[in-house]
Amino acid sequence: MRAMKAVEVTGVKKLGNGKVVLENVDMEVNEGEFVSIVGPQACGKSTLLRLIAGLDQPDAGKIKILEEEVSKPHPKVGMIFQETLLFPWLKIIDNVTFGPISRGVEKVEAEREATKWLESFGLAKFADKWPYELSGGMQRRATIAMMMVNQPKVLLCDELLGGLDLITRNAIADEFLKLWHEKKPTVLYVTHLLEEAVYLSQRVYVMSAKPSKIYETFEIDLPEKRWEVPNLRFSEKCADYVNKVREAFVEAMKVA
Amino acid sequence: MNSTIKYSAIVSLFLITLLVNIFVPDAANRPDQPKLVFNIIMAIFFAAILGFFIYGHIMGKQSKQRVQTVMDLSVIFGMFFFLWLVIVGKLGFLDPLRYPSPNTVFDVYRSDFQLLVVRSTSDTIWRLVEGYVVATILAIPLGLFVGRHTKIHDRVAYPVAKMVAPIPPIIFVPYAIELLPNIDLAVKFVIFIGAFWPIYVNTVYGVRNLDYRYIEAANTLGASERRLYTKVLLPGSLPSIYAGLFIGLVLAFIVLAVAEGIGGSHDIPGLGWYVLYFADLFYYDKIIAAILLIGFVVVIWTAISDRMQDRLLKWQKKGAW
Amino acid sequence: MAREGLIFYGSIAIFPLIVLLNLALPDAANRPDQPKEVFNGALLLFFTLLLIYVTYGYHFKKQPHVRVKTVVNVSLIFGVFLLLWLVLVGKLGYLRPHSFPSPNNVFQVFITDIDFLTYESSKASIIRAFTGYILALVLGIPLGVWGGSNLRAFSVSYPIAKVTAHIPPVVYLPYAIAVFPSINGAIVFMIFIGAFWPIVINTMFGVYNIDKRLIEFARILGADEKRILFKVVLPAAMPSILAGSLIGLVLSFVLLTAGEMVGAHTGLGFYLMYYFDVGYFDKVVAAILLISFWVFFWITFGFDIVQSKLLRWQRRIG
Repeated sequence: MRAMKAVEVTGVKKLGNGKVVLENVDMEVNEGEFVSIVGPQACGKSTLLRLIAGLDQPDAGKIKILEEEVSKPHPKVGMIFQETLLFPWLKIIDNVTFGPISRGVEKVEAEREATKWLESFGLAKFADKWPYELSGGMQRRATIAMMMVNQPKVLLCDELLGGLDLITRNAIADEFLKLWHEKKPTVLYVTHLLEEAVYLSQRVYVMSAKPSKIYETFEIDLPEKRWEVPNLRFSEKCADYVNKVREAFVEAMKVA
Repeated sequence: MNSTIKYSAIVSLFLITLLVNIFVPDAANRPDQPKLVFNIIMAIFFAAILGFFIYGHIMGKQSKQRVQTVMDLSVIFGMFFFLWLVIVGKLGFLDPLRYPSPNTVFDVYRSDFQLLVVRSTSDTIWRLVEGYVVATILAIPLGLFVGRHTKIHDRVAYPVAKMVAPIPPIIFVPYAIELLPNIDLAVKFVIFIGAFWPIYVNTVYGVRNLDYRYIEAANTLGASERRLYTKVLLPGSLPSIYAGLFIGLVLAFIVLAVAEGIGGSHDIPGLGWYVLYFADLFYYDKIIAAILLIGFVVVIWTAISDRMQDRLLKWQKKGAW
Repeated sequence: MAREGLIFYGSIAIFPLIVLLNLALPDAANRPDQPKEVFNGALLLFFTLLLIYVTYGYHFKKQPHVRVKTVVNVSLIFGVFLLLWLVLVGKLGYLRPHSFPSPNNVFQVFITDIDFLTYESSKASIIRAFTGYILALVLGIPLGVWGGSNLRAFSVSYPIAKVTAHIPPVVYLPYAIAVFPSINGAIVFMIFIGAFWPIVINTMFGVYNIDKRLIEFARILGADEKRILFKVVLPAAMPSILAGSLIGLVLSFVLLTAGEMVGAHTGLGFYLMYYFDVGYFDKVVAAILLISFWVFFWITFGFDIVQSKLLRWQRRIG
């Protein structure tokens, strides 16, 4: 069976303030894949993600999600923005039910579903708290629950783990991988940390800054259940990939 | 191109108003209106907006956003004057006593030039400047000091402010008139009271909401107390202080109007007195003229203080506009 | 902390102390035979209420510590003010008796004029203030939301609002009295205008400055425009809306008093002005106290409580 294309980006160009932000970007992601996008600052990673999310329109080129052209946010797409975004004026449970209720699910039903997700992240006892009462890691988990409860087919993450300490970061990364393995959404993961990109994804796109486009692509061949391999992060194979990506990254910066 | 035509139409709105005034006969219930002053003012508007239009749009020396805003504002003012002139002055709708035509209203600036434009305006501005400036000079340092010293704030300053700040300063007008040697001083005093509290409260708020790490950083860097005040506390709380200055000014204007109204006379004129005095005599053209003049004073005052604000707050990120 | 408790109970003890001084010290020669019942009674009543509050709030820990502390401190300052007033003016006879009555005489007015001042005038004033204020809220918030979410509307209305907001609404009053069928309507209109601008400006500003990502986030989650408005835009702008509403409320009272002093024939401001013209300063001061009381009351027990309910989600400072 041919895998369905989850995300197709063809020849996308985007201008902003009269400058070229993205130039001729092509990208194809199959359903259920986990891919990362890395690149130097201001290379248009976030802009690309926003275009795929349907929050903005490209000036040229096409973007398709699940083989439908995008003009507004696609109901099967979830997106997690840079830094935590919970609605600070909603309690945790109300944050998680925000999506389902927006989509017309009954409140009781939505709360039952949300509670399940909160439990799976060990957040059940925080359901009735305000976001500011949670630690950064807890907030991040709540945000993931908030997205997952909508059962997205495509999940876009912009610096999902930014601003967290290393231990929390690695812990949530593993939780996130397990979650992906279980539910198999297509994940597009934007980060500036090369190690994280390699550790998490099946493919890594390296973008260059000027012009902003895909510079090189790396297939990462690591076991799927990475959390089961002890110290995979520090293995030679992993380090090899990181080095290759780093070389491309440095080259990509020189292009500018 | 399209926008050029649109903007040209807007600019000519004032010229049209001027021509209508010259060539269309006056309404029967308001004959022989003295047209000179209104026409001059429309001509000034026309020239100013035309100048801006050429300089900003055609020569492209101003941002699109800015040109659009000015043009939008011009439409609103232009339509206002045009409709007022046509409906009231030329077609004669509404009763002439309470709804005078713009010609009659603007002529007040000529006929009452000495009393309204010269004496009342200058006295009012002078009172405002004195009361408001003294309030600012006292409130900001005091606010910085109290904001810095938590004990004084919690124990004394906060309770006092909580109790006294919201009291309408106007109720002190009678007392001020009774106690102070002259009316002028009484008016200035209540303006001072009215402006003081919002500026003070906002300064304290600004300091207390300042990230305490800035203060600690300054201390670690060995800043003296004086430098701490001038380089950290004051600039850090400026955004909040400006909010206070704005509210303080609104209150100062209100208090001024009432205090002048109660204490003023022909010998102690002022814009607030002028409005309330001629209200008793039913001169609605004079009232409206004075209200518009107050609006004009406010525009100038706001423009100057915005300039200063922009200059002092350069470090703050600007919004999109 | 037991020491803190002692300070709290000790602070409010100033009120019975004032009563004792009032009874023990002879009246000043220039203000003889002051009727002391109302002043003493008011202080004892106030003391009792405070005692209950502190016991309930501090002793049984039913109120946030900061709030109890504030109430006690405000009361103490108020007590010191009354003490100085009583001793310096009422007992030692400083200042001119004509314009500085003793607190005993002033508080007596609340009872002798109970119908006209305490009840009728208060009622007239409060109804006026709230009609204008609530009207300003009902119209100002939606208009501000619209202006803030529309860049073009924002850039046009912001400068207009800024100028109009500065023009003291009192100067409209004479014209409003001419155009409106009743003086009452004119004053309410003026209060409305005065409260309207700060509410509109702050709402506009709050909505305009919302983190746009919050709205995009809601959109991704599938929220429609209505849900975005009520669940995202309004709560996000709420701190700013409330700040504007507070300024509006304070201005409402200022304008109420101004309007009544200049134009009305009822209300606290009229009462104040009338007795000022006639020269009864005990009544003038009584009116000043009563106006201050109402303003303080509505802000502390009305506005502050609503505000802390609506902003529960914000981390408390300090």
